[in-house]
Amino acid sequence: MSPTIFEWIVNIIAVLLCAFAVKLMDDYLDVDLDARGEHPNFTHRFGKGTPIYAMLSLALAASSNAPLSLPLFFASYSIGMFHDVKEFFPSGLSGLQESMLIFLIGLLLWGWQSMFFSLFFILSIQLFDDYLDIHTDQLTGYRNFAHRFGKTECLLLSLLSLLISWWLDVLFFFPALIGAIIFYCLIFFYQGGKSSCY
Amino acid sequence: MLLNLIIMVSILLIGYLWGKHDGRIEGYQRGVVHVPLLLREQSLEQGYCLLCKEELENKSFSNNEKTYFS
Repeated sequence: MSPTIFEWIVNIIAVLLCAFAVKLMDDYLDVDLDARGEHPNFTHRFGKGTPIYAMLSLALAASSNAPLSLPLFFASYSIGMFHDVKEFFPSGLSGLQESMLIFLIGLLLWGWQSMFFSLFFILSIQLFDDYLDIHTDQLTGYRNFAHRFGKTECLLLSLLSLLISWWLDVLFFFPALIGAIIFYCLIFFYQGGKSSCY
Repeated sequence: MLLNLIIMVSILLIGYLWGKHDGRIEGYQRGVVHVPLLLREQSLEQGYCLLCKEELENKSFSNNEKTYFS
């Protein structure tokens, strides 16, 4: 196997593991919300061990390719907080403050290019996910980005964010995109249509 | 190439938002004009006048309204 192909595969695996870590954390936090909407949730399978498996998955992702997977995780965390900007978290900070702080830490640790690439890439996936989940989220009473901005605006913003992330980092864009698509497909087949992954 | 695509999608998004904003204002103005007529038409069809709250039998119609109901 040529070193380039090996590097691509390792990068894709890093993205898959990072996405799985974020998915597990998200499912753990949204277990009540998903139960209300009767959505499949990994917490039902892993129980209290869900955050442990999430940590393990993130550790494996970081071991595979830290400069790719960790900024993606920081960006996921930052964007995840944006849904609850006014809510106060156990740290004592509001969602917005925590989101900004994590992004700044990411900037200091991984540089502006990696962090902005990750931010736009994750934002693109989040917007696309919200576009797909508009009806299921409506049923649970959750106002996602598609409700706030509109369906077409959400899709166009997702496309724009994806293009900006491609422009920011050509090297990591395709492994990240392929990893995200594979993960989406796996989740789709495993959970029968519920696509939320970031 | 990629930068051109970004600019194109940005213009598309701005154009869409602009069009939607203008369309919403125009739609509201049309609605303001159309809804009273529509409501009056429906109320007259149901046998009362929305404006004076009178039953149609008790009211003396104008020539136009008589034509409308005949």
